[in-house]
Amino acid sequence: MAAGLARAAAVVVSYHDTPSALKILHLVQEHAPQVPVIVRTVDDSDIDKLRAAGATEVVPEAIEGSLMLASHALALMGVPMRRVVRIARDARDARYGLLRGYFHGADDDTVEELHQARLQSVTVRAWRVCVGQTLDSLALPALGVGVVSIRHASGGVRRRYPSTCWRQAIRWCFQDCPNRWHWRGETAARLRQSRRPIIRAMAVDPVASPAEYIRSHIRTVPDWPAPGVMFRDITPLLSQPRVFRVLIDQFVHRYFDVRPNVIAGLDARGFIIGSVVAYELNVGFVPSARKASCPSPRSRKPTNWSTAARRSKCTPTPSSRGTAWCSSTTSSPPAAP
Amino acid sequence: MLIDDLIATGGTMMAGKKLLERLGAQVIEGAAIVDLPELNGSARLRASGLALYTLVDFAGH
Repeated sequence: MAAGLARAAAVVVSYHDTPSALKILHLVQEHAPQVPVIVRTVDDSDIDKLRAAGATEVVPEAIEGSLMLASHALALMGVPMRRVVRIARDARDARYGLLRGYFHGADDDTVEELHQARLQSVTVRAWRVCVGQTLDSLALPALGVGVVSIRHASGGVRRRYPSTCWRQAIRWCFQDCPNRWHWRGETAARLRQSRRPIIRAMAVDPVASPAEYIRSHIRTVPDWPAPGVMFRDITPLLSQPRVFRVLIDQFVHRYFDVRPNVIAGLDARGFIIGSVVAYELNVGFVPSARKASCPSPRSRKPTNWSTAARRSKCTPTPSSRGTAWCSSTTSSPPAAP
Repeated sequence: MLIDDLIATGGTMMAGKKLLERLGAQVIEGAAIVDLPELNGSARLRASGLALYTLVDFAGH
């Protein structure tokens, strides 16, 4: 206790012999059961005993050594490094629950990897509708989502969740997290570093829950462009072909029957989304932009209809009127984040 | 139909709507990926008679 056990984010036990490790495990269970414990062992003969004593994860040296030997051997035999890494990862997945599944990267869209479970960190905000409900009542499996673990803001991990009331879990997550800004989409390492609570869940199914799928790919940049502003960066939606398609399809399905005459996109990201949606719907696209981006002065509209304007807009007229550009000063928002 | 990536204060989309209407267009709906409901932009746009379609919302600014 003198070592500050209760304040620890994790405990690592590196004794060679199992009885000593068990002694430490019992002490931790007794004084600070919320602290996760990682135990090193020589081989995997005592794994079950250590797990039963409360070890969060057991790392057998023999297995790690064998994996490294096998990886080197495979690489020297000319097996592509990507495949070597995957084989080692599969072996570890089978062994360590904490590492099971993986966080999806931009270049991970090979056919084999699509069938693997993907991990996604989801921060639960205090006002979300799921607060107050039990995990079971959320019917997450129906969405193709399973909860792997719930991580406390202080770094503690809770993995036996089915009987856990969601509300309790959330309270547990938020008890030392007064700031509810969330850091969705950042790496697990960053999340751990920032000590925000995260829930590790299997990836959202883009078909069953496209909105959540899209949400999970929006990058949040804190304090940009100004302190206190969370910048929602949609560019990750564009860089991954699957996500981009899911995104565009949402709008295409929405307007498939309505079939507007034209789609007007607002400068600048509205151009990216709008033009693709217009193309898919086989309708015209009208960029709507600031005056400064407007090429033809002859088509600019009089600017007297909003003297309070800070920005001006220009747009080509709808196709029925030809292709002349026009613009007019408009009222505008304070610099939109 | 009018499309942008994000609705914050709603000013950009409001300006786009006014502009299009000035050009004789009828704006059937405003669409965006992200809505920031705490900034009330979407509420303001709806109050002005513009139907909205957004995919996800985020708390805060």
